[in-house]
Amino acid sequence: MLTELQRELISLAVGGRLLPAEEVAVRALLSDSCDAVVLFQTLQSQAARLHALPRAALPAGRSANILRAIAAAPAPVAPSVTVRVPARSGRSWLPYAVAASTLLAVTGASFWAAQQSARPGANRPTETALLPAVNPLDPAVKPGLIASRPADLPGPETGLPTPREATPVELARVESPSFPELAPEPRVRPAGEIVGSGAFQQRPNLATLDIRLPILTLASKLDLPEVRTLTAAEVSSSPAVRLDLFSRDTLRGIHALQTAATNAGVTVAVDGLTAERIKKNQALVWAVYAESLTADDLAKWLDQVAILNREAGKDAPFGAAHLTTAAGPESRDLRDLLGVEPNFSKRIVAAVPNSVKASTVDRVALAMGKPVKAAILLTYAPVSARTTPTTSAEVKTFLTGRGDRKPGATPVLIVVRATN
Amino acid sequence: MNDSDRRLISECLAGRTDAFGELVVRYQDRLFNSVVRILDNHDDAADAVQDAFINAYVSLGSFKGDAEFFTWLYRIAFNTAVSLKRRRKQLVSLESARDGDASIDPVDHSEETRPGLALQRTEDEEVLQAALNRLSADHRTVLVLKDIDGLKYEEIADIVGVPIGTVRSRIHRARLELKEFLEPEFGNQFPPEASKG
Repeated sequence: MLTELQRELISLAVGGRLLPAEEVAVRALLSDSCDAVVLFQTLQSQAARLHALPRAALPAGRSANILRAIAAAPAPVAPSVTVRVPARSGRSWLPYAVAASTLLAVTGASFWAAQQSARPGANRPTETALLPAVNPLDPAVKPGLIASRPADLPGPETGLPTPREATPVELARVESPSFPELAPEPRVRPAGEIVGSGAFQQRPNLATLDIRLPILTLASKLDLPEVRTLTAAEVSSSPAVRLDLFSRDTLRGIHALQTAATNAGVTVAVDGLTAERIKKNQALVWAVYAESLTADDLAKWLDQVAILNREAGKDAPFGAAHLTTAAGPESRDLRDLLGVEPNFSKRIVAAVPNSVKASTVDRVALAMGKPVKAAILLTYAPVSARTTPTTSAEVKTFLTGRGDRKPGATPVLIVVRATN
Repeated sequence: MNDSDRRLISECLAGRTDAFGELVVRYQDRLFNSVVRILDNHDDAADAVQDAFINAYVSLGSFKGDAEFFTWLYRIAFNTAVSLKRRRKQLVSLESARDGDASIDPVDHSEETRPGLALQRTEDEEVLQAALNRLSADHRTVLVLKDIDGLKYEEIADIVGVPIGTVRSRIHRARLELKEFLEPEFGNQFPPEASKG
């Protein structure tokens, strides 16, 4: 059975020219395959039959018709021959010559102009040329204003006769005595004076500079004397403070903070919705807010926090503590949490007589059945999980019972958050 | 292009129209023989040849002379033949549709239908022409130009306007197809001259 390629080779070998390689292949094929020989002879006879067909000749009448039609047809038009005329050798350099001449002329003109401008006094406008025309006979004109050539300088030797000096004749007197001011006189400064802006006369004393830095320490060290001192100073000097307690488990952290508050005599009211979340062990970010704590009260609370933290050992509920002054962001958070403006700036120090101490206020309040050191526990983050203040009875109770801020009290926002 | 054709063309373009008559006489029968095998109709073939010569004469000025004159003439003739065949087919289709009976063949009044003409043809010629007519136009054209007219691959490629490889492929296909068509008639009978070779 012959392949398609072999059949094509044999077909093309019939009366056709083959490439040398094809011819070799065909010879080998014909010597090896009987099918190839049969196909070759069949195609060869077929081509011979076609070639042997009788030749048909154009009828004689048709030939005459063709000649008559050609005679009647329009004569063929010889193609227009495009003759390339070689450019004359004498004209080929003409554009280059024109360009070179132009360049040379421009260069020469530029050089001449530069020379003329470099010559002293040549074609340069002088100050007198800028002045308006002034009658030299005018007595109002200052002497020496009009430029004149010194008498000792020789005139240009042109070879021409010296022009006769015209005698000035006063034809009319111009009343234009005003002389234009060219520029203001330069201000003379004494030697050594610095030209520039004046020196600052009220320079601040840079010898001492107070920089308030946030307190960053471990929760276990909050009861150390040096930390207590720093904390007390920060709380006393700030309108409000914020304390961030970082905890691995915020639920354990808030429980520890509540225990510490109880130990320190601080009553922490828990918002209902927040209490439910704590009960469901939802690890959120919690916030405790108090307005009635003085620096000492807060220090006692933090002492308890440090004690609990140390007692827990490796399972300490808190890690780091970060105390800073509360400002705008905290104010906005508390407004969102409580529904009222905390007004950090309202610090009562001198409004109450010194004779009425904070401890006295506490005793009076305790006698009236009010919590002396009240705080409220709320959900801080995520923001979407915060309690709506108007729907929380605990918040309303806290706001109603806080009354006037007692002397020395500082609003404090404690946030128990997860360690990053 | 041979010098004789070149001289005649130049003379014709120079204004001596008789020179083109010599070209007509030189190529008319060869051209007619090829066209009639393609169209299988003497009158149509004669019309195609006549139109081809007239077109060649009118546009002789556009002949560049970089190919053989008869190749250029063949190209015009085959284009004319293809157009003529297409017109004839459309005419038959329209007449059939108008008569409402497509099965009836159109009446051909040409010389080809003259009674007794078929008897003049040999039996082989009838069978071969019938087999040629069954080939496609492309295959029939290349086979006629190759096996009947004896042109080279390059000349066929120039006339048909396809690459040489395509010409070779078409010739191969045409020969095998023709073999299939002729086998019922001839079997493996070889003409004496072919058997000798």
